[in-house]
Amino acid sequence: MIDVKATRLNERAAWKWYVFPALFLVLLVGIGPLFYSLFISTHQYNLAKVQIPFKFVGLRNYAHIFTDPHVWNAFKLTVIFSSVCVMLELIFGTVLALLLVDVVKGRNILRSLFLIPMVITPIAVGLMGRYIFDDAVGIVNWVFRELNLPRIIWYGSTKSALITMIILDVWEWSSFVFLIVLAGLMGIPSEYYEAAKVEGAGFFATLFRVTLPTMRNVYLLAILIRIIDTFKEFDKVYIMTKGGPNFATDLITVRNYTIAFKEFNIGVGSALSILILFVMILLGTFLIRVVQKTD
Amino acid sequence: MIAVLLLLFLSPIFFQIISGFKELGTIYDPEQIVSLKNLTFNVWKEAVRLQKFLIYLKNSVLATVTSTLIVMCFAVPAAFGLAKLKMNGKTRRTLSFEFLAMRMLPGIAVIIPIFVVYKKIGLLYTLPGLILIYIVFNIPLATWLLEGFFKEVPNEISEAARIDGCSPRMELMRIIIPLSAPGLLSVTILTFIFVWNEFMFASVLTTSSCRTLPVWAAYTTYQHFIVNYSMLGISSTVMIVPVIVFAILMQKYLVRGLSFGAIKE
Repeated sequence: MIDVKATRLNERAAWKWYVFPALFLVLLVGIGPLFYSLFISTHQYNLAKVQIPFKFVGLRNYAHIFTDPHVWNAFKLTVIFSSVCVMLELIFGTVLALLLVDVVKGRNILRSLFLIPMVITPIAVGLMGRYIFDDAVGIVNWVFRELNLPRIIWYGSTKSALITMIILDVWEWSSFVFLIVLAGLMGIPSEYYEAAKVEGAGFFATLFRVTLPTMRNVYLLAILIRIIDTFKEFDKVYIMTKGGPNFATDLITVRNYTIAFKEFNIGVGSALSILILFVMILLGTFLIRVVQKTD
Repeated sequence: MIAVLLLLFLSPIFFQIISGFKELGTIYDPEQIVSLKNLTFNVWKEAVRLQKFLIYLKNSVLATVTSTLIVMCFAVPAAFGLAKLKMNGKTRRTLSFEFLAMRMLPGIAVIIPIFVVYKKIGLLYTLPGLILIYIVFNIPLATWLLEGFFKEVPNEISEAARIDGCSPRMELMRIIIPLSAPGLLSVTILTFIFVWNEFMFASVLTTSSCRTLPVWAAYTTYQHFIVNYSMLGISSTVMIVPVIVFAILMQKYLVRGLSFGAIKE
């Protein structure tokens, strides 16, 4: 009924009836809170300590964040985690894609199986990580024992905890890069390769002169999505170590969660989340440009 | 070679599922780490009997199904408006950009103010409160992906229909939806998976009786001061089996969804 009315009134305004409900809901519940968060972030607000009154403190929460060594540590860890993960995932994903691009028989089954790690519940991946990397009864240390390698306390020691997280993330997400790169490879016209062959280019020359340059946007996309997602990483790390031992896996989102929902320091938590949001907006805008271009 | 690689790659999931069929004594026996003997249903029976895990399963299913359906109710018209109806080109690009941008929002930035507001208006620790967040957070990507699918329906068909006096609503119901059924299905499943897997919002916004599976799984790790790996195996299995089934059925479309629509095949 609404449609008929809208069509009669003005055909050019019809789209509003379709787009606005979704837009309204998302702006109200999704974006609205961000402004409230901005407001909270300039206030002293602690839910755990009632004796501390709710009052305006200007930018003190932000100053607090910039002088908090735990936050700096978290930021540093996040940068390390993110860059190492993305690099390794790119390498493994590309190698897999190059290995499997010529497999025609059973390609769909193959892709389904590679898809599994990245769609299963991240919490389940974290729980799986706890089990297989357990220093006493884990599968990984069992393999090490069989190979006469030393026993490693994977996520229980400050030295190897972050590495364990990286291994797990690479296991979970390499196939994402693999699938994107595979799709990209299959989109390269075969004339390019024929031309390279005629010119007498070897495997590496073809790889670096033909394949990788044509895939520039594909890689940019994969890199940006992975950077954004590794920056947001929370579930696996939280379920495995809660940021420990001794802050060794205390990524920025885990730190933020701890400040806001363990210490209930809502003011400082909001300020940190606003800063994280700011970084994400920068990354996100760039990513969207790439996506819209690839379109 | 590839088969061996794949087996190695997926073996952790296999052992995780198997651990739900081992009693704690077996799991903590160093000689039986990879053995497939002594498997039993006892832990499963125990889990169903003691832990209120059926309640959490019900919560998860309820939250997932409800929010997925409502997301589609909002996203389908929005995507149709953006993809097919007459509008200013600049507005179209801006709106479409906004929908994708909202997908990048880090959950932690929204969860703090939502927590405070929910506490004030009494939605904190309720399932409807959680569902509302799931709806809002999944509309943007669903809209963005659906817009892509709808655009693939040739414009000539819509134009022919319009000349025959077809209203936008009829066009959506009779032409667009039937012609992009696989796209609709894949976006539905993707939304389903996102909601089903979600942890951070659920851990902050729910408590005892309205917890979802991931939150329950996160809180049932210890028993008598040792990690209860059998229980972890069971909770993981319950969470991942439905997703694996979906992933295998829908692999072609999932890649598209996970790459923000950039990879089309």
